[in-house]
Amino acid sequence: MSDERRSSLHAALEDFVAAAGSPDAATLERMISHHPQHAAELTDFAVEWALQEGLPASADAGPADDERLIAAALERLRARLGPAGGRPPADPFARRSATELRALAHRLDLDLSLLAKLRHRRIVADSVPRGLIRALAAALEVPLAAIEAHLAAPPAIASDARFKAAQKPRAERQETFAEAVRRSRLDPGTRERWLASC
Amino acid sequence: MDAFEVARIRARAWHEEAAAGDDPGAWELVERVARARGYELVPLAAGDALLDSAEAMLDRQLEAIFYRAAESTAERAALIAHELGHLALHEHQPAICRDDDVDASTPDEPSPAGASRVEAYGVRERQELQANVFARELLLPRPLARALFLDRGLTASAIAGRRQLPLDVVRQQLCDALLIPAGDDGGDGETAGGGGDLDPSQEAAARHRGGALLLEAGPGTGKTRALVGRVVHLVESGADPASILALTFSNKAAAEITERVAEVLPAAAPLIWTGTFHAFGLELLRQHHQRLELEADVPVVDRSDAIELLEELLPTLGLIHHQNLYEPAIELREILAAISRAKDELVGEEAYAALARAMLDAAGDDAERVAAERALEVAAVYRVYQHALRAKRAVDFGDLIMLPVQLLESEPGVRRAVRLRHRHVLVDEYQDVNRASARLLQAVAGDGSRLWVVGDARQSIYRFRGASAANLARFGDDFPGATARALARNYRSTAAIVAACSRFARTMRVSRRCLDLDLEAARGDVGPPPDLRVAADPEGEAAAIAARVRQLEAAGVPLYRQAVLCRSNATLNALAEACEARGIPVLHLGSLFERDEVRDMLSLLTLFADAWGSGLVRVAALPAYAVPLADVRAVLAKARQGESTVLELLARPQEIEGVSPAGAAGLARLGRDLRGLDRAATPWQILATYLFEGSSYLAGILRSDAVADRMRAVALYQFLSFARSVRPVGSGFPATRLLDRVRRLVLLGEERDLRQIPAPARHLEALPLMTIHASKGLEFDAVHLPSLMSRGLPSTFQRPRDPPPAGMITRPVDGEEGDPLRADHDEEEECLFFVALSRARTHLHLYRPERVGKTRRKPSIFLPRLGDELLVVERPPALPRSAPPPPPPAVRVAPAGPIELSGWELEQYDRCPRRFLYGRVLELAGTRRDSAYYRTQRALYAVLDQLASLPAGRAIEGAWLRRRLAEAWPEHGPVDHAFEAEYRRLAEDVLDNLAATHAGLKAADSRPLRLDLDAGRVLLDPGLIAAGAGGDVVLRVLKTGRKGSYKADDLSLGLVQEAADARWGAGGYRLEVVHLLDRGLTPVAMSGRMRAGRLDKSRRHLRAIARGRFPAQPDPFRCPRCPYFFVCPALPAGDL
Repeated sequence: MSDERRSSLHAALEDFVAAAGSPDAATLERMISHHPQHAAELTDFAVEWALQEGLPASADAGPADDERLIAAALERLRARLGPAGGRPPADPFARRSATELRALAHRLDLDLSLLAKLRHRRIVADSVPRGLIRALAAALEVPLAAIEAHLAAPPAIASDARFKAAQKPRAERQETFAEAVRRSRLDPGTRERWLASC
Repeated sequence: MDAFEVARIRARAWHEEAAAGDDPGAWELVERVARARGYELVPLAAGDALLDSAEAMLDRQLEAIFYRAAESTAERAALIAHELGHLALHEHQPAICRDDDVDASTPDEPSPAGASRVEAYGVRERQELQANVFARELLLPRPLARALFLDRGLTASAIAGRRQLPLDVVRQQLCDALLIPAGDDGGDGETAGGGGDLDPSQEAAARHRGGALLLEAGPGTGKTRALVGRVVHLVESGADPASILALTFSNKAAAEITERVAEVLPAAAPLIWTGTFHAFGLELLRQHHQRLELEADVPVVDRSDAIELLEELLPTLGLIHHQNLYEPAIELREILAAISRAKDELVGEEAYAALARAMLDAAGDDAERVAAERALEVAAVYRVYQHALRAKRAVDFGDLIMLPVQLLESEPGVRRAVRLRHRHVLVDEYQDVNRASARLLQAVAGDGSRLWVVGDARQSIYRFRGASAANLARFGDDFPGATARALARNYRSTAAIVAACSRFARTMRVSRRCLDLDLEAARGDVGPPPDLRVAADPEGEAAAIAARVRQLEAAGVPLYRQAVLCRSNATLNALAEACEARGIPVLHLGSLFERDEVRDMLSLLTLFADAWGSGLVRVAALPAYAVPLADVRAVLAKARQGESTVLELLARPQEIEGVSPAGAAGLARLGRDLRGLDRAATPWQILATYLFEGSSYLAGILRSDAVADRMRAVALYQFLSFARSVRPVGSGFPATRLLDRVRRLVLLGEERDLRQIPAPARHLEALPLMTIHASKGLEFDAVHLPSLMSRGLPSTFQRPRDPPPAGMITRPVDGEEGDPLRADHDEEEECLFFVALSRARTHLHLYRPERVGKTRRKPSIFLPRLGDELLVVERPPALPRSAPPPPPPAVRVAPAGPIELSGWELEQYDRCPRRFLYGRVLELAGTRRDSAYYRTQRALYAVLDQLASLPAGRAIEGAWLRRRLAEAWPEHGPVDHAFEAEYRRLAEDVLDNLAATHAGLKAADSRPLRLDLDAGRVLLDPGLIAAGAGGDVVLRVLKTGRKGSYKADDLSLGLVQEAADARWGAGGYRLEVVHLLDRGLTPVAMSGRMRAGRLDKSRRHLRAIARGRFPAQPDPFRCPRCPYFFVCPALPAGDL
């Protein structure tokens, strides 16, 4: 999801909250018509909001405490979508072809599994060598911060597919860069070099 | 062509391209396929973060498949093949597959019986199934599998070994390749509702705006087409596809809608929630499981599970009217049907109990009091049942609708959330909604402003599920402001057939609640008018059908484009036999568990289920083993000694005394065919090993092109799918559990879904025969509709034994007075006739016999309602039967003195000579489950057996009986059972009833009664010979059941009377039958003529036994209860 897309989601959710005293189908439809690319997230938000409204009020909050409800719904939505504020960074790998990405992996001494893990954020950001981050930024022609922000975001959910309830998406496990290198199919020399740089 | 067939075709193409003439192993093959598409295969160790808990991931951007490096090459190849399936088939979907997604050995479709009917059938689940089918076909295309097995004689293991494939994948593929005909299923046979664009009425419906719409879609008018058009219109108008909910009543309809939408909107289709009401209910339960105190993966119990759950709790309930010592499942079937109906009406256990109590309060006579007491007993079971379900955190089918309704109606937040997610709701076949699903719809669709439903009240044929066209009539009340429209063009039938349907429709009661049926026949006036063919009797009717079928075939209408549609299964079975006897191949499975090849498999399973292995009688008779009858008896006798099971004895038959060399060789062959299997094996393992490894069983079936053999293969396919799908619940060996389940399914009549013919087999060159219910949604060039006579169609109304309590069903019947159940029945019969008529495209032939047996039957009351235009053909052309089949060979039993039988045994012979042969002559153990009920019954009989030896003058006292029970109990009773005390109390109650009904009597003459008839002697045990206070002789015959409508005309009673006359003289004694469950006393007063008839019959039976005549006497009620149900009527050759 691009920066632009994330921030537009944030705007969409703000629009929604501003437009509706409580979630209703007409407002939701209107919001979706304004932000069709966020149909799924807007629906999830509306659903969470309605569910929060239906919960019994806690002792220290009145039943009509809209802000509390919206905050709770947003919280649940964020837990699914990504970092606080709903503004995860751009995917620097997007729109690159397989050939380009494979060439990139080759150039940077990575194998496909390492590249995939970086792309899908399955590696703890702090464990990625600075040199690799710089090399990725250069090769992908994006600012260093874009790579850093991408890696720092929580791991993507398993799929963009709309899972059924029995298979709710959940945050995936991460490993350190060193673990990923050890699990990779790199030749022993390359592997040692990477491990030395960790 | 359905998506599965597309998957197969594409997989075969990829296989051929990659195999390129050589014969690569599975791994080499998938590597070649991936390489050809530029994909890299990347193995990852278990637990790698990229996959985490998934098995494999298809990364389209990197053009790589990441996969868990499984232990064996075979498993790895299967995993990759599955991902390649996604690559080939699902370009719009990312693919990350978990363990339960990837199993290339799963069948295409879940077995149509049991809980799997509601299991997820969403787009994602279907895509995983398609990827599995693709994987199987890529690794081992069906033609190759067939060639390897049949032409090269390789077993499944050999194929798996050579091609490095998982064994289960090979077995499942052999199942597909060998047992079901290859090729396209050709769709479901329904007219697409016009080609090209929507017609004006479809278009108007698809584009409807402003409030709820009820679209009345007469037969052949393109209902699905209009519904798909509506979905397309919504999406093209900007609706979020994920906001569309399309609800159906069958997985088949859901799959069809999904696939037809996907043809037009491939990207949107997977986002649309399409499924059955029950699947949607399950989805809601899973989403909100915590609020309902359920697990996320809530188990769904079916009727058979429910019986198992309740069977052993029954004695704790103190039931009187529903107590059945012999077959408790029968009572439970009725009770569960009543509970299910209650759930259809959203009546919970407390509300049911309240209604039943109100009935009792209002009862004015005995009949009403009994009805109320029965309802109270149902309420008691309902309460216990719900408690048991809650304890297991499980739900049943009824709960899948009732619980979501309760949740949505009681929790506004959840209701709003569900409405926000599903903002456009469409319903197919709306006439099939019951009250519960209508309320669910109200909860989800709110005011209905975005609700669109399509249905045809005239095709409402599922009343037994609580569906009622009244719900359709109520649509306007449920959703005020709703609009009704109708589709206008019939694309299926000729003008003459459309006119006949319309004439009948005008007379249907249900028509008062819907728009007029005013259809234009798009095909025009291109066919002959319908006719009625009148035959003398049912045999003549069958001959007339057969003749007309052949005439039409000669005129260019192939057999598979014709159909015979019957109201009842009994008529269906008779006509199937009659057609086959006239050389017409039929497409009809009948009752799956009564088919020869399926019984062969069931018998095979009994060798694993019980130590006595009674199924050997059938299996040993198979031509491959040809073990003589005497040898089989020797093996079974040896097994009864208890040292070795029959299965163990098969490994060393030569050690069994008295077995002939030929028999030992046959038994050893059978042992070899089952090598490697033990009693812990699952039914699927047993059957797949037997069919695809050792035995030559399939060879004969598969090398034949005869339709009957193809149907045998299809039946085996259905049974194997069923065996695979049965979940491992309950106690005992896996085979035992399966056999128990089969028995329950048959008893409950729930095996009907397994009679469905798989789609690819529908195009065999054979005449389809089916019930009208099963024909719904299909169409045929020619329809033959028999039995249009009184008590045929319409059928006779039968009130359920446990009807809904008064006040439970509150539906308007147009203000009519009268019995709503009968009104529902009458309406449904009209709808069935309408459905049957409207299946015909070009030829519609109605038939009726003038008499059945000696009784004249009036023409069906429906016939005049077709109008004067109906042509009547008296004595139509008839096709005679070929020669009748030869009678079964006799079994000569070497006489050991004159025949001597008990009266009870003679009655067994009278009911079914074959059962007598199995039980009395061969002493087969039977395969009935040794339930706590049966054990209690045995303990009771052990006491009753001692009555005859009571010393003369001894009173029949309760204390004495209880002491005898205490002695018998440890050996016979259900000792250590959780409810042993309750069973014991039940037995004591029965004995108390015995004492009470014999108060004042004393044991008298204990000499047994006997009667010598010409061919043998009958020993008559009246149960008790007693003396009354005045010294009068009283003969009592004891039965453990309930009196009910018992008539005291048993065969043996005539003999007892004859023998008693000889001893005490006519009038010198009293003969009475006592039913111990309700103390019912029935004096026996048989007329001289009746008694003579009984004597005559007994003589005939004794002579037949002497001549070795033991024919089977099939009976739809008794057979499923017979201990030899699985083996009958097979018998090894030879004498005893």
